[in-house]
Amino acid sequence: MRKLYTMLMLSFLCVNISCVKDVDFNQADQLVLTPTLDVSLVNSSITQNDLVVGGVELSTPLRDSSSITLLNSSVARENLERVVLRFEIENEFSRSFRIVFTFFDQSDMATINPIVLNVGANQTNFTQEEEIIIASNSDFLNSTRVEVSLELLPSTDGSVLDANDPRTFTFKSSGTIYFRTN
Amino acid sequence: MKKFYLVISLLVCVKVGSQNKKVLYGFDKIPQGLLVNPGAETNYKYHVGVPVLSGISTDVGVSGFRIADLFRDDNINFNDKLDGVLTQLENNDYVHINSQIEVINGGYQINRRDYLTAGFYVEFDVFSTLPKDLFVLIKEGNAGFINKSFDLSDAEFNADLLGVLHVGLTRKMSDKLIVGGRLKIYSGSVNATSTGNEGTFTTRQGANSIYEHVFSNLQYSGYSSGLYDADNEFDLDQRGGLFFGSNLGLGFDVGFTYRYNDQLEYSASLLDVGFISYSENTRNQFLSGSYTFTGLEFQYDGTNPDYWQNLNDELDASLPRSENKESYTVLRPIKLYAGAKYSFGKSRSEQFCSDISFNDYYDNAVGGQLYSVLTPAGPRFALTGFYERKFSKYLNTKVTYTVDDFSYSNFGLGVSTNFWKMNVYAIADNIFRLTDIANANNAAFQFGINFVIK
Repeated sequence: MRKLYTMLMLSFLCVNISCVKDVDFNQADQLVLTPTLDVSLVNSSITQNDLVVGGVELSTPLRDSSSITLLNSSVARENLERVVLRFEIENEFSRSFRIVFTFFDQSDMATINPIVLNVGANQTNFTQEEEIIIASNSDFLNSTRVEVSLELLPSTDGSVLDANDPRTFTFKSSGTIYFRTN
Repeated sequence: MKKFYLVISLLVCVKVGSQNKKVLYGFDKIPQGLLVNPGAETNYKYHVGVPVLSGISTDVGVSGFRIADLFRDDNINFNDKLDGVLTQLENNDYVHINSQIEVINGGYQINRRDYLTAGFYVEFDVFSTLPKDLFVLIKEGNAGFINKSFDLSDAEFNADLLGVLHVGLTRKMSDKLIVGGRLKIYSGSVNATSTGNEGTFTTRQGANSIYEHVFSNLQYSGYSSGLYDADNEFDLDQRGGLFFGSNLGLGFDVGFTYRYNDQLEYSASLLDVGFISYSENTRNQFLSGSYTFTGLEFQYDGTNPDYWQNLNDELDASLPRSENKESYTVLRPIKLYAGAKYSFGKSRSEQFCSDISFNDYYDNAVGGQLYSVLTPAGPRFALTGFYERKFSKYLNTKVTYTVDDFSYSNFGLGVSTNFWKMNVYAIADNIFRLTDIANANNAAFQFGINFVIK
């Protein structure tokens, strides 16, 4: 009886094993995921009134910032390959602007060179892209805060902003984030 | 974690097979046939299954692609093959794995009318949709899919590892009618369930931002038992017992066979009408709501709020997430069999015998069977035609042709032998793919040895 069991079990196993041919499950080791995410980042819309205080134009840049914690995750730190930042600006003002986009770490040190956008007067279709390759900018992964400063540049023809003028300056940004997981 | 992979690997290695026991149903009075129809005919005084070997069944089905499409050793890059599989997947494709190992099984004829059976088996059952949109989103991301709504409602999943203790009674009501019922006590060891999920994710061009990311009507619920420890760390050692463990459930099977005349019979059964209540080492997670993200809106008003924290607060308010460790109940997948069988071709050696049952009187039978199982994604159906041929009192065979979600060309073969007091049966599904099972959408095997005393 014991021989019968052994024979039956071996037959069963042989049938099962022999049925699968030319298959290699180790191929799964080749799996590479390369998701690419389009993500909105920072937007803003200001009027000329925001740049005039007490009838006087601001002479210092407007600054605003936010913490960001996305890069703290292990998924991002281990698999982020590059980021392409895209900026779209609609400047209805008859004045030029300089916008500086800066990423800081916890010690308030810039993690990459600040991204500078020089937007001309009445330039309503300004676009610019900046690529950050992580392999050559690994400090970027330490970013915990982003700051965007808007600086109204001096008038070249002596004109001044009219606080009652409803024209707007619109700033939009997005990131295309490239991951690669092995 | 290694144990988890080991379990999964072992199950895949034995090719855990399909739940539809179409060949076994109504075949040669094999004792295990009573598990698919408690109202099936018996003609023996008692039977005892060989422990652990009386009923081994495995069944795997995958619709939409074949294992060979991904893992054939053909020098094609695996990622290219995965792209091909994702392209051909449709939103209603799914994978199903079921395996049963009968630990003990026996039956005894109480009197001329009643046959009592009892036993215990272990079952592993997995059903999962293959949510194409979710796979594409994870693999490709949302870039390149502007304005596409990723449908997250196609993600449905259920997995169970359980022990089933059962007692059944088959009663011959008359010469024409046999009915039967079986009471089952389930003992759930491991469960993971996520059903009723809803919602879409869309990225589109924004008005005041470059993109808008729209999470619309998200509804997610996930339940688990035996998978996480008290610290919510994945740990299969938290699983419950298979025999009267902490996660108990109750269910029943019913069935009948009606002989219309000497040659024609009808039968049907309803299996696993029941539930399991999971209360041990549970962890349940929920998320619901809608939210549109357009980016951080810098105000430049001098207040410089914590925009990131505000975003998180908005997300928590709009897409509330919660978690608890409460007990929950999972219904067993109800299965329905129905069949008609026409016997013909009198056996010359037996036509003058007076003490044989009507089925023994004929050497041939043809018929059809309907099978349906209630899955988390709704009912699934299979239609089977069969031809049964009895070569001698020692050897009976059954050939089936089945149409289901997996294949239109599934031929199955069953062989049942009766030597001395021993019944040995072996059943294989999709036999024309047996030489290359990886190139099949589904495969199923059943095997068993019983001692049958007539």
